Amino acid sequence: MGCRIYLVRHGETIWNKDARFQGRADIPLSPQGMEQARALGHRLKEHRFGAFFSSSLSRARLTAELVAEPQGRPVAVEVAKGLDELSFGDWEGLTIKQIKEQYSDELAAWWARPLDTRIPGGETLAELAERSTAALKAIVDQHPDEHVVVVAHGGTIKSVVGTVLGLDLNQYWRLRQDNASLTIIDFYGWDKAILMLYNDISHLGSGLVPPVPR
Amino acid sequence: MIHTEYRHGGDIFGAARNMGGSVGDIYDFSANINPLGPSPLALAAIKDNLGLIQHYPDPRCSELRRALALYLGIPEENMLPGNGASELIYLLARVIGCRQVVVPQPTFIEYAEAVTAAGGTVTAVPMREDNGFALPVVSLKRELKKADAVFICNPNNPTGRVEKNAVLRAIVEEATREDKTVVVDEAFMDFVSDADQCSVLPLLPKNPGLVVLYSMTKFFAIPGLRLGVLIGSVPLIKKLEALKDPWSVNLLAQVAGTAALSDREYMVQTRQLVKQEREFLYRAISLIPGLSAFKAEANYLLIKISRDTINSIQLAAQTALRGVLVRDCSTFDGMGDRYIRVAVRSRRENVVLLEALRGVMEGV
Repeated sequence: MGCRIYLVRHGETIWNKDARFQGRADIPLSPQGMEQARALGHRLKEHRFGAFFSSSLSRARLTAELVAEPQGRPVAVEVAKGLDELSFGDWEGLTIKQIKEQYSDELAAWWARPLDTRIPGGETLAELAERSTAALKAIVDQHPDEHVVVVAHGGTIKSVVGTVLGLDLNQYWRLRQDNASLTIIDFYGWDKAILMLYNDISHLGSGLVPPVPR
Repeated sequence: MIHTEYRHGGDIFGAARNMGGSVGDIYDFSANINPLGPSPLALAAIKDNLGLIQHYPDPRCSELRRALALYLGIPEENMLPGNGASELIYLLARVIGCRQVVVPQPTFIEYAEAVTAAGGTVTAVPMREDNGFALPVVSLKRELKKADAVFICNPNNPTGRVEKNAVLRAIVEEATREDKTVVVDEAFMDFVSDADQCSVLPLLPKNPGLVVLYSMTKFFAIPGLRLGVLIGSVPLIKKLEALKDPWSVNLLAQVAGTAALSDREYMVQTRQLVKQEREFLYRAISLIPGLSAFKAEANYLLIKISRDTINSIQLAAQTALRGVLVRDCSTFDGMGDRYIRVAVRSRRENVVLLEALRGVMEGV
């Protein structure tokens, strides 16, 4: 049967709305973000899950709790620190405009080669991919024949998807992850991964859908 | 120089009253408290020992003093815990009978207040901005010849500058030779990366004229409980003990302080976070037109306003309207109205501070 992982990006935060880089900064969900998480929980309420995991950051933890709520039984959300967002170091809290002004060279390098470009005071994408993939592998190994919800972050989910599909992670920016989106990967053993669904937000009513970028 | 109004940071209850909001809506950068909040071990110890408040606190603070002795590397008989360092400053000013006291300025205002309240006179020795607010060692030594005692805050509040203990040694040794008192307030020393090169505690055994003030309020984030320690020669401690309220250190402060001192992981995390966020804030503030920050070693930054269309009182009032409290430094003696001080907090909070400062400065 295999392990089916429901990867969920956390709901919107105030910083998402302002387009600020968050990384390890522990920014809580906005009221809109909580609504988004509830909508996903409603969508998944008939499914039976073997476990719920989240990163250690509160926006992911609360999203996981809100998604689990309609399950109608007490659910413990397990924390896996390896799922935490990429550390953006000195960029955390800045908007993309501010980063362009203050770190134009570093930003250009990061767009071109995120895998081995270290953000000042932060992580490389290779480091993120290594720890997030290890965290997911541990979950897959623990639940070989179950459905599991894993609430994490844009960077974590993209690096995991890119890794299990064998993509060149320097092309990571070609993947998009929306708040409270659902991505499903089936694992028939760790090395046989099939991407079933990607960045699906059909559960979000029109009021909860983010604007399409121009 | 008697001031009756409240002249410190951290008055969030007053600010919430003025704004008509609740304490939870306020971002307080006016008090320099560890952004992680209290150690989880301290909070757990308080909860586990709540029932004990039906008893008197241990007037000797035995367990706390044992923990402090281990942490600071100082014998228990050399320390006197108090209800915050402030209680000890006032007590000390009364007991050492200081008629004439030297205080470098700008610095924490309570030294001058305590000396004045005890009937003494304060000579201020200016620390100059163009000299990086360095401790004026030569003029301090000269003034000390005419005085009984000197109070030094290291790292200094509000400038954030820390002096190496090699710099202070000359003053301490001279004071010992001439039978005078040097009080060094190390309330923020725990935040300093190379504290072992800055703290004067190692000078204590050979210098009976040295008194060190240590605070648990800031680094261990328990200002609501109050906990400070005075460290000095045994005869001085005995004299102070005789005049101090025996139960001034409440039971929960003793319990929380003892537990916090065992939480090494929290101490490491605090130092890492504060260093990282101090550097982040320093850089970001320097990019705001009209503001510049001074290099600092503790958990706060002094900021100079270079635009003459706004002063520190107005800036603090404007950020308060945005729910962000900063410390207007015009209440520090000798500082004028060009400086504010901000605490270093978490990235989430620091971004709110930066937005408020940017927003105000854009409009002037």
